[in-house]
Amino acid sequence: MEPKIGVYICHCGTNIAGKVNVEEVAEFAGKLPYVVVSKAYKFMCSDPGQNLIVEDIKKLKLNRVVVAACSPTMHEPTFRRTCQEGRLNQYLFQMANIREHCSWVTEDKVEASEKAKAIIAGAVYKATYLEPLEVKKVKINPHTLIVGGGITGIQAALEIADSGHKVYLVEKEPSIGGHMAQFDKTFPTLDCSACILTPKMVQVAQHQNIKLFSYSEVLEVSGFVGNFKAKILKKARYIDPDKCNGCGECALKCPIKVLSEFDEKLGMRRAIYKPFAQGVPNLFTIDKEHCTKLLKDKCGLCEKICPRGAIDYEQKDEIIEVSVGAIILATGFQIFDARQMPQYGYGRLGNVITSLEFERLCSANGPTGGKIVLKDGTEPKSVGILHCIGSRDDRFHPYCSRVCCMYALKYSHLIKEKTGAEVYQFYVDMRCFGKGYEEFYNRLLEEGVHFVRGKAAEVTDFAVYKGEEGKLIVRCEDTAIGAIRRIPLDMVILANALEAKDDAKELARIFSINTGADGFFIEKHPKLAPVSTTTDGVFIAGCCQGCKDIPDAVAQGAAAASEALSLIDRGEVEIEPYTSIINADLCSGCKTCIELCPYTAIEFDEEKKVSAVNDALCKGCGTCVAACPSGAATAQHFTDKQIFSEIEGVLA
Amino acid sequence: MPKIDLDFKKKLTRVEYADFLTYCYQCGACVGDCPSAKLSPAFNPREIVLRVLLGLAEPLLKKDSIIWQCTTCYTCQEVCPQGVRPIEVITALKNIISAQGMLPDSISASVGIIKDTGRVVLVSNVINKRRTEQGLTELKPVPMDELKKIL
Repeated sequence: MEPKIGVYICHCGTNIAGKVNVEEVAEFAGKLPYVVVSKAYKFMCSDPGQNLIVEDIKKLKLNRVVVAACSPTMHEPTFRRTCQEGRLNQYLFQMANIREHCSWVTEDKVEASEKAKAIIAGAVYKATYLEPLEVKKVKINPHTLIVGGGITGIQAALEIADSGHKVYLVEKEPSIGGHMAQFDKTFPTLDCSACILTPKMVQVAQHQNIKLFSYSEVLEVSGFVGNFKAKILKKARYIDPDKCNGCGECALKCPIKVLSEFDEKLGMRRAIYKPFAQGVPNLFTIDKEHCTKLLKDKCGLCEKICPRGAIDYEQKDEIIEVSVGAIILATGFQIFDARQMPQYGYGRLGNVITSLEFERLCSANGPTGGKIVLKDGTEPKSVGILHCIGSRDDRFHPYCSRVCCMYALKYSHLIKEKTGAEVYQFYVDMRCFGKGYEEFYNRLLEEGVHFVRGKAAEVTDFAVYKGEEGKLIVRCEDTAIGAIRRIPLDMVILANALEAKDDAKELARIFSINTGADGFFIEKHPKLAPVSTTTDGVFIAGCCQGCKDIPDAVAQGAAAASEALSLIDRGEVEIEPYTSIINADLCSGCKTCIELCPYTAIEFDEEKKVSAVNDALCKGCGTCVAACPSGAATAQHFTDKQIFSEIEGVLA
Repeated sequence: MPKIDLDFKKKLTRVEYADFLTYCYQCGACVGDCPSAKLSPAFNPREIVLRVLLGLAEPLLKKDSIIWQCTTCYTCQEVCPQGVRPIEVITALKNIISAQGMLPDSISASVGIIKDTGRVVLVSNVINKRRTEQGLTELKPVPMDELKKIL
């Protein structure tokens, strides 16, 4: 049947029409081979715009449709549905991107119009050779994998589990709880962090629909939306989880002391440990890096002391494979290493501490039992909080970390309450944007905190004036009064930036998603798809997507859970038929494609001596097509003929 | 009321490196570390950038402008979290003043010495004696014909 192509050019308001002469381009497109109708319209994605296409398909018996508008990521699904409405196979539709690829990035109007013509000609030439294809439907596995057991992952896990679906929750550390477990109070309500978090942690441990893998990591993920397979490494904790009841006798006797990671290395733990008393699961773990029994076969005290015989030095790492339909990543953040800014003295001056160190100092279950003290054990009489350390800084992280202003206010309150010390805040801009945040700021103004507007230049212990001896001196310009000040203080807290985890890139690779310039995972759309990713079925939530406070992280956890549930409850998923096919008559059985296929989607048929593609696994990457010496492999919807013809069109 | 000259900013944004000034968010890190500001409170690199941004740079373009107190130490550029380079703004302002023939007398004198001798500091016998004591070679006169070609 001879192709009958309809071309529709979208103004996109002034987005395209502001640069591209749409009428001229429409006239040009009308003269291309096989084009029977060519129109320009204000908004093709609107109802009247779509109706234009449906009517033309019926009236003019169009059998190919080309829409020149925005990126296919934006509206290809829209126009495919339009074609289906007109009873045209959706794969006979071709999108030409003249917005992102043309009008937005071209300054000259004439050049923009010429480029639009070339792009549209390419699309029309390709459309000539399009073939109808059928979408495949695949059943969805109803289980969900959640990676990260911080507050975001916990929220997502509970939402999904409560709806009656199974969740696998993977946490790298021996206990879930994440950073929130380290906090003392939460802003702006000053709720006790542990009091609101611990019940949720216990719920996770007890929920019949949640299978918790603590002290575990995801090594590998394969498959596709609705049908993922994940390999989970369950690290040996040298404890039999069925026998250990968390009594802690072992840790009392263990002679090896190690700096506690949970206490930000301000306190000690033993080589056999639980990160904190309320840790979930209620199990101890032997740290194989420090345990002398495991390192040198000496000691063995814990085995002798354990009343339940739970110690098992022979335990090995395990690899467990789970099948899931959806994946939620909630892997969180780390804090900026302030040693990169030596002017603030972190690591060099004892009483310069990080935000997380202060949280542990302040926490009732912390190394000082909640007492805010200096390195010498005395209470500080004056404390400074330096904002924007590593955030809003061109050299480190250009973004605002979004939580520091607020926790700085929280710290000020806690310091005033516990020690009565004078508190100075060195801020650049106060950002108190959330519900109840500005009111909290007012409260702190009322409590008599000193707000110095200016970024601190330096923290030094070099006394120049009387009264500075033995103090930390913060030097800065108070920009509000336009004077340089030297303020002697006992303790300085650095409000370190939140940043993407060191392993974010590696995780992104494992889960086939992307990281942005700031290192955080990228969402599918910043406004309309904030927890989806470009990989269907993989969702992101919490601080792994960008800096956020607890309310926002919890909201995202719940949002990701609802996205996952909406996917699971669909029951089946449509798969794009962009797979590769191998023509058995042409295949010589050389197996080149089998070795090259990154998705192990090609199998060898020993009987016929030819290769065959498993289209449930094939992602349509085209590697086999490029490599096949006999030209037997074809990528559907991206055939050689279609691509060469598209190139011809662009160059014509 | 001071006159507002919004075009002045555009003039500076055409100067390489000075053009980063638009990113200034007035945190004052540059002032906190500035050695000149420490000794002379009237000298304030943050305010200089702000004046240019707001179109209020006129007082900086006078014959005895405060900007000549800048020692060109580049500390402000080192500490700026926004990569603003206040020093390049100040240098651009100095060039504008120079082009208008409004150099302060002390600077004009230095310029004259460079033009005549090729050096900022005149070479004296005392200097050469000290250099010999330290095992350094004596300083020879600058080849003025070559320097003139360069200038």
